[in-house]
Amino acid sequence: MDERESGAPVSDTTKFAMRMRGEIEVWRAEGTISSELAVTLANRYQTTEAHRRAFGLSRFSSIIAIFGTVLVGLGVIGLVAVNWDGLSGFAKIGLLIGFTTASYIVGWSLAYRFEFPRTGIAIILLGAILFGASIHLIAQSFNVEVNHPNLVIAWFIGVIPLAYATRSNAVLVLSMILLLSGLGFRSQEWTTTGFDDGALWFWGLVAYMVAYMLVGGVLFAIGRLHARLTEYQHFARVYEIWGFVIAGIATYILGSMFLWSELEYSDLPTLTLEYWATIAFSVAVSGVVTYVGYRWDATNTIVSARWRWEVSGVLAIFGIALLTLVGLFASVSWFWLPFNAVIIAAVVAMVNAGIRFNRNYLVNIAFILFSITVISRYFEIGLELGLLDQAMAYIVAGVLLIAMGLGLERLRRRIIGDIRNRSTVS
Amino acid sequence: MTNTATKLFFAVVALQMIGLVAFAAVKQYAVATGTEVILQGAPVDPRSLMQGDYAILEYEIAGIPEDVKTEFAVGDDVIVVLIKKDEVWEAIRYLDDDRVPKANGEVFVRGQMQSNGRIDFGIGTYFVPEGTGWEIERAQDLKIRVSVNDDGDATVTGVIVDGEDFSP
Repeated sequence: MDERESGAPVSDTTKFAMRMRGEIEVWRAEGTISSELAVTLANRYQTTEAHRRAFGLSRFSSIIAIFGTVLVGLGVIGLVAVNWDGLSGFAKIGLLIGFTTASYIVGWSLAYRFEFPRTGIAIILLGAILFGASIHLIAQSFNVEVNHPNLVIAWFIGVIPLAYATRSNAVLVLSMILLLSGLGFRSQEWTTTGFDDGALWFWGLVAYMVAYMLVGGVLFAIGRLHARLTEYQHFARVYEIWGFVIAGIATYILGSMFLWSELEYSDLPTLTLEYWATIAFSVAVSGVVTYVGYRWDATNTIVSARWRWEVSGVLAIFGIALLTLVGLFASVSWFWLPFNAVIIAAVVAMVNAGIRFNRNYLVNIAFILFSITVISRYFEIGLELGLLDQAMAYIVAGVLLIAMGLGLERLRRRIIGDIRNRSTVS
Repeated sequence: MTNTATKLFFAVVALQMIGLVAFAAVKQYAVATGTEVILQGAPVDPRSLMQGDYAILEYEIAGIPEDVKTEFAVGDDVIVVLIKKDEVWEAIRYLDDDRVPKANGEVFVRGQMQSNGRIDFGIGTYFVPEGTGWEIERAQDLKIRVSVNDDGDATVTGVIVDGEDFSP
């Protein structure tokens, strides 16, 4: 999508200059560079007030238009839900299909003919939401079973190609939401016994988390592949964030002491072929996509540090899934412990990768994951084990992290010292 | 937008619209060509955020007799053979997938065995205009109009509340 707004072009160079100025300010604050050097560098990456304003307005207009789209979309879904009997079913379906088509055409015209890309894409997004509303309206008109497992999946299949046609992050985010909701609905079919029997609930939850974790791995791997595609590089972050968030939520749930302590009182539900197919498919796709990334790098002779970090990410997710399956069949009540260790390790790894590869969102996800885990486990462990054990567990974990921090700081000092020594020698 | 992207965009939009029309057409064809049967039922009245108020429909024919139940595992297809008795169609046989009945006057409906020992026909939902579900919920006698096609797939086409077609 062109980053242009009528009359006020915002070039990639301007965005880069704005980002560089932000980085320079961070380096100055850290003491990495002197104030004088910061001023010199900042002057080199000068941007005009008009450019900054145009860039700000461009993003602002996009966000406002997407908010508007979401409101209109939800309003239309609400209208579908009213099931007003003043119009026949066919008239309602015809109207909604008409509005959906009109949204696409108006959105496309605005975006690509009249150079209002932000508003245009927002209206295309509205079309994508109306497409889903249409599916549900038809299902309603023919009394298709409520929460039918295929409706949202059909919506996802219809919308995901649009994300690629328009190269819109917003449409891709909608697709991700639909994919995960669709999987949620499909998961009704992952057991033959269902969850009517409360005893099956905890087993089923653990089994489902394995599948979700592997789906998170697929999204992460697909994201990394996108990072190599010039036209779709901006999709990489969306896929990665969703991959990490899903795997993170699954690991967090599996770290619940209560969940594992309940397992010994319950039975394993019968998992269907679809469940195992989902697992096999996720593993296969992650493996193939990661291998394609590796071959890509090899062909293009790119340094393979990126490849190592990607493989580590996918393998870590596979490892956690495997650990869960072992726990599922071994049914041991202390199995919550390794998952919390995994969360702490993942937080440290994400902060490290975020800083090393300049991905702030990884650091942000790590902070959110750490905060939620620490606070919620504080209460859970206190309730389950008693306050003394809880206090001891937190003190030990805290001391370990402080020691790790000290070790890392020493490493940092040594590296900086080496750099300075090399500079002095040269 | 490149030419290829433009073509992809309009191709996706066209496919979406074709998909929607096909979805509606297939359902309408099944209703129009199916045999209408009336089944005895009982309702509950909840709400879906996407599709609004609906009644959950329970069917007398979904309760499989104890002596036959053991022949079916959870998830198995169950063919229920129906025959009209007075106004309502009643189950006379519960068969597995391979023995489809051919006798005159009989209709069969396909379902799946559930873990609760009842059969799910995929027709457990009837959507109603907002705020009207209570009329169904309070019914003394509820019958459901169902269109059944040659494959045994069923679609709810209406409900009869205390002898009257439901029309809020």
